[in-house]
Amino acid sequence: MNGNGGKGGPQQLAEFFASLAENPALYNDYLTNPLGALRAANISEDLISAVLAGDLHHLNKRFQEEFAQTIILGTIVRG
Amino acid sequence: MPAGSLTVVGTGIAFGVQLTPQARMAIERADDVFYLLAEPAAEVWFRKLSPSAHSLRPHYAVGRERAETYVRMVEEILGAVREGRNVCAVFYGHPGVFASPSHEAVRRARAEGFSAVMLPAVSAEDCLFADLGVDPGESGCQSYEATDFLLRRRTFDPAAPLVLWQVAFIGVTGAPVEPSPHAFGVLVDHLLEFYEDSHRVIVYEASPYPVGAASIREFTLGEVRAAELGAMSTLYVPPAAVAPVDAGLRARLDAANVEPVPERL
Repeated sequence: MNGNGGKGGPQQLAEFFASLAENPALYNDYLTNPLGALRAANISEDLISAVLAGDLHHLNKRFQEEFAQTIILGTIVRG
Repeated sequence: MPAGSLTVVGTGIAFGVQLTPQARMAIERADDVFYLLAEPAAEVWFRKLSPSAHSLRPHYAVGRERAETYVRMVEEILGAVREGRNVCAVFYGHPGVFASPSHEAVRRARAEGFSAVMLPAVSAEDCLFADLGVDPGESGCQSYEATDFLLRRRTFDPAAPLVLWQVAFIGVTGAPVEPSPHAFGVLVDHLLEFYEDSHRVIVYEASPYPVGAASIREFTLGEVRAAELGAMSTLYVPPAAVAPVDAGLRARLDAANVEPVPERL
């Protein structure tokens, strides 16, 4: 499934992001102490590094591998 | 008016935190929810928000033209509306920006006599304005899908900001594939007809996640062809000059207004 033996990998990070989006108190905790919040969520260190560095490409690649999905782009041009 | 309705909403770019209260209410009140999200992690969030929602993603298939994919999406959405259901269709970003099935679903629903509305949302361009500090009120803003920009040889003003979308997939009309650096080179060559090789440009990507900064990478136009592009990369080209004021039109505005036009214009 994921590249971290099923623990602390992209699935868990996605769950963490989902929790942030729905829980203002947790989001506030993250903004106060990002590293602490990510570690408390048991996210793997390589993903924590990618989140803190803002490495969007790495994060997206890991999520795509995890969920077997490719990016969807929005529009079509009739040339 | 027949039973059944359609509300089209967007999630914003950063999933979860950019969903408007208005859009959230539409999702929660709908009988049926259909959704199409770009970022895989966003689906984890959305399935918690709306557990019974139906993904439109299965309509994508390798080898299937996007136009055909979109027809199938619209048909699935409208099928529920025709059954008298109050339907909410959810797209990432702004549902009316780079999202032809959303517009088509609204048009078709209205043509068939159903109530159909689209709600505004945070678009990638909104994120760009904030992240890059660009104000379209200062010197305008030209915004094109990159393939359209090239194929139609769009006339543009190098003295105004230029935003080119989907630069990693120039000329691609099928299912999503790997970024195409060769086609991006064609775009760069074209831009070099209007800008100096040393003109600074930005490869930009808004963060699709609820935390984290945007990716902002600056290059000269000559260097940017070698830049690694992500699926969501956008090319921002700042103005290369200040457009001169037209003396004739200034005189006409002065004559038309009680107050003279300020000198700074």
